[in-house]
Amino acid sequence: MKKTASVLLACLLSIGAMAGGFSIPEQGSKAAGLAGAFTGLANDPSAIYFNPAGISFIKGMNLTVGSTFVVPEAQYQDLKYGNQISKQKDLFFAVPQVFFTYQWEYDLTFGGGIYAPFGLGTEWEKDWSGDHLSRKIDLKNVHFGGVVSYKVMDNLSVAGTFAWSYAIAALEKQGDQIGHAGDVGLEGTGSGIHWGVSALYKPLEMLSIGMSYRAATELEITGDIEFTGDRTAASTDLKEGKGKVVLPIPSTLNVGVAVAVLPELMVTADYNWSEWSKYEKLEIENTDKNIVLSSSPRNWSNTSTYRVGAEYTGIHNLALRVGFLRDSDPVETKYSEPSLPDAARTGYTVGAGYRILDNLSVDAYLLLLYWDEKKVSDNEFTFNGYYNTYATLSGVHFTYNF
Amino acid sequence: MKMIKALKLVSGLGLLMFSACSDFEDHKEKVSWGSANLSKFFAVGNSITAGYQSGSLFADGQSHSFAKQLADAAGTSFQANLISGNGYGERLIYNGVVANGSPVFTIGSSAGAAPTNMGYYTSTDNFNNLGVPGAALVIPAAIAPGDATDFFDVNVNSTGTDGLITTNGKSRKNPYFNVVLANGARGSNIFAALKASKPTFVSLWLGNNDVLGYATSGGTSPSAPTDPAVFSAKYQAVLDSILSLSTAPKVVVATIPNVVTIPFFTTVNPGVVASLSKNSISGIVFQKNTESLSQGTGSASLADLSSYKHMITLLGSSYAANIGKQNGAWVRYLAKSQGIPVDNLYLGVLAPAGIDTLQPFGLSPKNPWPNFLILDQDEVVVAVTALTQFNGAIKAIAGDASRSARVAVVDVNAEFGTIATATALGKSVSFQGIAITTKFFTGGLFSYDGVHPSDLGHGILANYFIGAINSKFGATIPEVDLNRLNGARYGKRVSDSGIDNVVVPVEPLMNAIKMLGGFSKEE
Repeated sequence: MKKTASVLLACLLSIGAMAGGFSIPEQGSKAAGLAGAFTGLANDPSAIYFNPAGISFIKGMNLTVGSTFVVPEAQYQDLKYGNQISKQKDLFFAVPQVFFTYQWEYDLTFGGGIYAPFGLGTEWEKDWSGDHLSRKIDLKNVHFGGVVSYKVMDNLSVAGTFAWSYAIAALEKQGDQIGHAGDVGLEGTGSGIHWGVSALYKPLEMLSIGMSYRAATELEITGDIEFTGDRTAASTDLKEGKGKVVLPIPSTLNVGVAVAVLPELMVTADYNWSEWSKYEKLEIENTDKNIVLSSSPRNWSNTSTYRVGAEYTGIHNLALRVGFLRDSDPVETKYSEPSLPDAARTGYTVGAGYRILDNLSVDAYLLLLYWDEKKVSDNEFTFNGYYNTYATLSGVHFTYNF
Repeated sequence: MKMIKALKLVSGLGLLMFSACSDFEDHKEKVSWGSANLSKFFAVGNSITAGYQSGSLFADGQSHSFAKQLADAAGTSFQANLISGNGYGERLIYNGVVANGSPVFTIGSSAGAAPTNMGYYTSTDNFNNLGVPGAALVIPAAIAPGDATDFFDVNVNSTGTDGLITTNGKSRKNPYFNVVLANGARGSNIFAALKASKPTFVSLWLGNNDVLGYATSGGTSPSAPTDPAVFSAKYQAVLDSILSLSTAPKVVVATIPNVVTIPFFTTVNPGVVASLSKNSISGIVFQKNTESLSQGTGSASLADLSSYKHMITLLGSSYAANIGKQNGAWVRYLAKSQGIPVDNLYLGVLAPAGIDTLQPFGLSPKNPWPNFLILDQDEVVVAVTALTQFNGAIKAIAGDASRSARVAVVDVNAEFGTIATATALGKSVSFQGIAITTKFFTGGLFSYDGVHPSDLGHGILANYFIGAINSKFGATIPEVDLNRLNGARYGKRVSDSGIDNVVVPVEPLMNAIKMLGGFSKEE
């Protein structure tokens, strides 16, 4: 029953990607069309994720529904002579969002949303070269958030966010020193509490400045440890048990500006900082026996992301968007491993919005994300090689004004 | 899958447009042998080269010998005379059961085991794997009186057994000569077979058994490692005879890994200490000399055993539970293996005179822990001293200016030493993401006999050899992918303390020890 439920949830809310660390900032098509440079603009209901204070400037009652789709490709090639090439399995992730805003009074606006800003999914073939380090990792973390935004002045709003999140995680790899017959895995669920504060300030008609901070938290995933393969005959005293793994969710600070250069041309820019240094190790614990089954260092670094976007609204009912992003690599080559090797990334986006009816619009985007080739030669796990990753993200969102 | 492909197209309008951009750069380099020529690669050595593991020489082990893995990586043909079934020997098989935290082994029947490729010699060529289990560089005179011939150039007789005749008129019946040389069809000894093969490249890894026979038999049989001066002269003679072949082969040689850090010596002590301290016993009394109790017993305190000052061998695992009991199991085993009544045993040299098995085993000087089953402090020194001298000789001879241009050296002793040091500190060394230690069963490096490497161990060895060849001869032979190899295979994660109580059956270990040149006198 529990299994069925979690599978169902997995299908409905399949989230995951490879991203700067394991965050997925593409939570709305309008924002993503601007390469995510939306903290200073925040003028549609997806502001609940990007900058909750933005909802103070959205009149009435509004609903955004849509999804982002992620198709990653990754390849590993060994360092010495490159005779071992492994391609990651074909993966596809849908990351759905629902955002709702309601202006209660002129200075008080409420909002709510279901969104998934953290997730991760990598899967390599069984018995591939790095099978002892990782075969599969799948994290889905769905946030159920509520926002209260208050207009301090006509041109300044502040907001507080509170969210509860549910996480499903699955990890699988070849067992240590077991030979190729055995696999070890953990499947579990957990939850987290998240809060944040944000502000949006419009000092001039053509200028808007935003700031959004989200606090760090931890997802404690508990579930069943599973061993499969050549070991079913093993004695009962070493049976699989309950397991636990703790994944950190970093704090993030986003600041952004939006400038209306011309009446029909908006330019936006963002700086995002993420505290990935929280991710020090990945430890799988057997909570029945109180022993650590495997511990693997991560020692990630904090990251910076720079985003710029532009929106042209000179055509009737149509908005055209382009964007560019560049971020830094949280994972030192020394600690790179195939569950998320990561690298600095460059992204190019195009997007469009179209007003179908007076109160109904649709936004769509396409993001091409290129990871720099990562050459690892000083690896702690002596797993040296070249990682190449590429992902196509796309999405479509409908927004309705009641 | 179809669904994913379809969604890929839908979501990635861009994928079509930009797919060229996602073609990742290929870093593959061409495999090159550099200045070496591995087209006719032959491996000379002992049981390790042959691929003997877990007490037997069987096809799967032979197919994973470091030499075979090296040849595969280099892309050159490499044939061995694979033995079917559980092979020649007493193959230890993990039966999937963990009792009291320790793995349980059974012995695979050797019935029906036979070489599968005897016709290869007559048709084409010699086997590339010329590793003979049991081969020592120098055969102790006590074992081969009057016959100065050593394994490398020993002549096989017409039945394929080696021509060394012991004092009682028996051949040692080493069946592996027949496997490797096929009754001498293409050469009546290893050197002759090698010469007839016209090798362009040779791996030479000998010398392990010149100290392992001594060490694994608890410093008894042979009673000393090979004399270092004799070792040095013989090693040089063997290497030079290979280098002077008309085909002028290039050679890779290896040092001998430290014998006292292998699981054969490090597995049993902790369990004995735990059991004794539970019963408030302060230590064991062991037999210092094989021939006579009158020549003394030694004692090992719990602290001595904990610090591995004295090392109980894996062969002793079957007898550790008898400590403190009125027991003569080892003496009975010895008598049986000799085919003589227990009483007669006392007349020979294998058991001390005057043993009283009514005394508590391992605690009384009258019924001490057998000399065969412990490498005591003095013997450890003897073994390590010999090993150090042998390795010094190997490096000096191979590194001599007259040879070094054609000889690559793999310092297996240094490499395994790094792993042993990490293990002693409770750590491991990672190879391609796999955590490796020198521990029994869980460590991944050694097979179940505690001496011979596992498939994974051979893969690691192959990569050491590849590294040395690449560096010496400017080759670009790719590394072996270790993730596809079996290490010690076990059920659930077994706690390290649980392994302490492991019991490894005697017969396979005796077979393994004989293949290391130990207990050779018995046959």
